[in-house]
Amino acid sequence: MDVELGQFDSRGGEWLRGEGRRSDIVISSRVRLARNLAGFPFLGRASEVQRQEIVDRLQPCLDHLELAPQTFYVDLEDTDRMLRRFLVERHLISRELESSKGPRAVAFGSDEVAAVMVNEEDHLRLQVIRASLALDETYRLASELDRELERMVEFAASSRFGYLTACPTNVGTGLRASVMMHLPALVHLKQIERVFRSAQRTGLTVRGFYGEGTMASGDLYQISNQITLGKSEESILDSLQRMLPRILEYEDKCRDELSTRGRTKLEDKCHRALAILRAARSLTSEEAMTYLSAVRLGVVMKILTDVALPRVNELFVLTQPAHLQKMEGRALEPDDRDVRRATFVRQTLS
Amino acid sequence: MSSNTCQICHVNPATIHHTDLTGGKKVETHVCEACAAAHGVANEGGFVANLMDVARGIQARAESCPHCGITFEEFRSKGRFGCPRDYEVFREALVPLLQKMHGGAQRHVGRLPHGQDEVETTVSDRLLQLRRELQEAVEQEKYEDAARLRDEIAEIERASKQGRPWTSA
Repeated sequence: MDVELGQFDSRGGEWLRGEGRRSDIVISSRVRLARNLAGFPFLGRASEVQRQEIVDRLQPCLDHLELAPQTFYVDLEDTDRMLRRFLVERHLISRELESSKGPRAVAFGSDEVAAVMVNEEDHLRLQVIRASLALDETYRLASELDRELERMVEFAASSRFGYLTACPTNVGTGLRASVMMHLPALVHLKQIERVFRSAQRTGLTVRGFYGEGTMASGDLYQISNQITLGKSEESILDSLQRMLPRILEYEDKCRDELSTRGRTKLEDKCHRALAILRAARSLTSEEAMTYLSAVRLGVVMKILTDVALPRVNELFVLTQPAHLQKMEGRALEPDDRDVRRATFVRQTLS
Repeated sequence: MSSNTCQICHVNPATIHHTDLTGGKKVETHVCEACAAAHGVANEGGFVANLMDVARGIQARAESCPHCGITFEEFRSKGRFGCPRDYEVFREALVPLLQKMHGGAQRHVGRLPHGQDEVETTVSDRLLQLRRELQEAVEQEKYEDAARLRDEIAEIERASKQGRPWTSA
């Protein structure tokens, strides 16, 4: 069914709930599969008519998937920019799909765990996001949905190159697995570059909160596999999972160091951040992300005891521009947005 | 193509010219010294043999996919292929790139559709070809051809879906 802004969960997707394994550091686990329909050109060479044909052909299949607990379908060509940007902030569509033109769509479960983009870089991009460190079960669900789609449409594949994708960086499994981590202590102790370098040496990539080409905001980083060919799905997940404990331990160690060597400074930083968020009358997006990061660190280190972790996680998404404008029910100028953001943060945290 | 500019870098003036008449087809190669050196063409004994390799490389890059029309050069500048067939059409030039991207790998080892070991692509190749012809027929306003091609596509799709548990409307 079609969706309106009012139907979205006001607390954000289920993956922001802050429960599960290593949720003190890991916000979410994500898996995406890139697929294309056999017998059609890739999108760069597809005519407007063919793009529409792809959308028309996939829509009934996506309805049939029955994403839990209810499937929402958005025809992005007919949708206003505000809703499209809202979907980007929710991590349900990419910025590329938001700003591109022509026939394209997204289907997702109302819990926002699974989403399928149609006509992004590939005909189909299936993603599953779950809270905390849960890559295996996240992949399992993605794989189940993939198999279900496979019963309805033929995907482009070859014995030699696996699933064929528009860009050869995704060919083979078409699998990108990632975890979103909150790494404030590594950033604070200036160790984050070292982590990136060692991640890159093992074939992993590091990106910001909103994916490719975005700056790390709020000390949030997505770490994902780079290689998709020549390794099985299990082995790709395994390589990522073998690297993660090292990053987790390193962040733990830096948190310990901050806690023992400069406890008062750390407490001051967290309390100040919370005080600003509870008192400010105007907050830019970047300020909000910075202070939220310090508050999140304070909450998981039990320095701040009267704030719940899910509220902080949600605020990373709910304070984004399109979300604030949705709450207000109209477009807002940047200055007004900052005022609206401060009001919302104040209400949520007090 | 102009014989004045290097066919590899498209920047420097071409100073090395070569004409190959093997196979009854005239193939001209024009490159600058820097690119020739970068491709291992030294002004020594192996000169002509290496230059012919360069010439073949340039030819291969200029050849287009019969299914979507993209050339390897176009793929390199955009970073995206035009259709699934390109992986086979440009296989030779592609494999070294894949190895660079995927830590030396050049072959898939994960799962394939329907848990099969082999994928049969003749039907999808045929569909790709017919869809290209259909698009051209529409562009050229050959509506009778277009109608026939549409029927043929529908027929193949119906046949290929036989035995599948679910088909979309």
